[in-house]
Amino acid sequence: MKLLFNNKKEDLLSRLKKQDPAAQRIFYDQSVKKFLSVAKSYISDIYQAEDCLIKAFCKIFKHIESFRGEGNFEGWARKIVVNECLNFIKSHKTVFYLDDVHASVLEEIHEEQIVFDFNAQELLDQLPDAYRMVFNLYVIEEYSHQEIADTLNISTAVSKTQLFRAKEKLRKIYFQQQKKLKNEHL
Amino acid sequence: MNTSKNNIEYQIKKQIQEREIAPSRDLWSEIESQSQNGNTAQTKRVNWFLVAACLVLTLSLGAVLFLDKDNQPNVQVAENNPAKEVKENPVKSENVNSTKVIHQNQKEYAELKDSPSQLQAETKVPEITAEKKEFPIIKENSKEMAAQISQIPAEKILAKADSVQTQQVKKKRYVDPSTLLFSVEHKEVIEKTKGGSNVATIDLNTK
Repeated sequence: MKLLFNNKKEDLLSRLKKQDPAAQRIFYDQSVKKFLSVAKSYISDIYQAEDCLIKAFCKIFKHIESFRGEGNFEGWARKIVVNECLNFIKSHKTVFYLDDVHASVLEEIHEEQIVFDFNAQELLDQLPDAYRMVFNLYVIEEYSHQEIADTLNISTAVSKTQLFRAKEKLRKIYFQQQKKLKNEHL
Repeated sequence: MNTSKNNIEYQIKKQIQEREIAPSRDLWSEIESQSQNGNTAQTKRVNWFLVAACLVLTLSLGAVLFLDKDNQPNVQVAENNPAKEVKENPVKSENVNSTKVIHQNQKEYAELKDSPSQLQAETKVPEITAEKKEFPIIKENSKEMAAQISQIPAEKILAKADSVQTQQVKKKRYVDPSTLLFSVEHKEVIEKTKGGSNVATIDLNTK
């Protein structure tokens, strides 16, 4: 069964490389919802996220020859979606990266018991662009600070501070939401 | 990274990885149209490149042929000029590496240096003759001109007559040295008319 699935994937990839429209449609149908979720985590506006996704799909189909089969094809395509979103933010918005935070402060984050009934997108939407980009790249895409620094053209220190501030901000927003919910229940 | 399941980051990651968002509009049609536009743009680019290449090729060919025609007579003139050939010899000899040839050329140089006046004379003589040929001979006055005019067919007389008029106009501007000499030598023959102009009466039959 697994072999059949793998064969199907390889067949789809070879057809995609031949620019087969039917294969492109299949790949689109399979991945559009996942990729839109990824794009939405970077760009809060759904229409802008969809525009980025259109561009990303065009790039995937156009440059599919450059995929050499190293690693997962979906991962490669997902990377293109993420890069397209980052480019959109860079070109349409001015991103401010705040100054360094003292190294000792970075280690002072303490975990608290959290009730997980929150909407992740609502929290992410309230983050500034710089925080959100670094947070998503580090937490969701599992980039290292060096990789983040390279993709965003910042230093690793700035990447670390952005992540720290993003986490801090998320906590603040979360507890504010919890307070509001408690007050509403009372 | 803290991978504890009790932190916000982990929960955000989990939620985003698990969720799927359906697009609010038909993205596929836009992707199709954009990719088709990209393909047509590529073919258009190729066509324009072809057109441009053809134009450049034809223009360059035309230019080369045209310039060749223009340059041919100049080359012939250069070949006929002996002075230039002499000057070109030492330049050619520099390209040859062998020492014998260099010695020979040095000798030639020495010979050339010994007789610079000859060279200059050779080069200057044709120029002077050319200059002389270029200037119109003003002596061609009454007799010769009349003889020439009589020989010219009737169709060309008008044009020639115009040219004679222009030459006459020129004569008025400058004093002809031959007439000046004539007036000095034959003072007795020259008479003043009522109009104030000088007229010389010569019996041509006596000559």
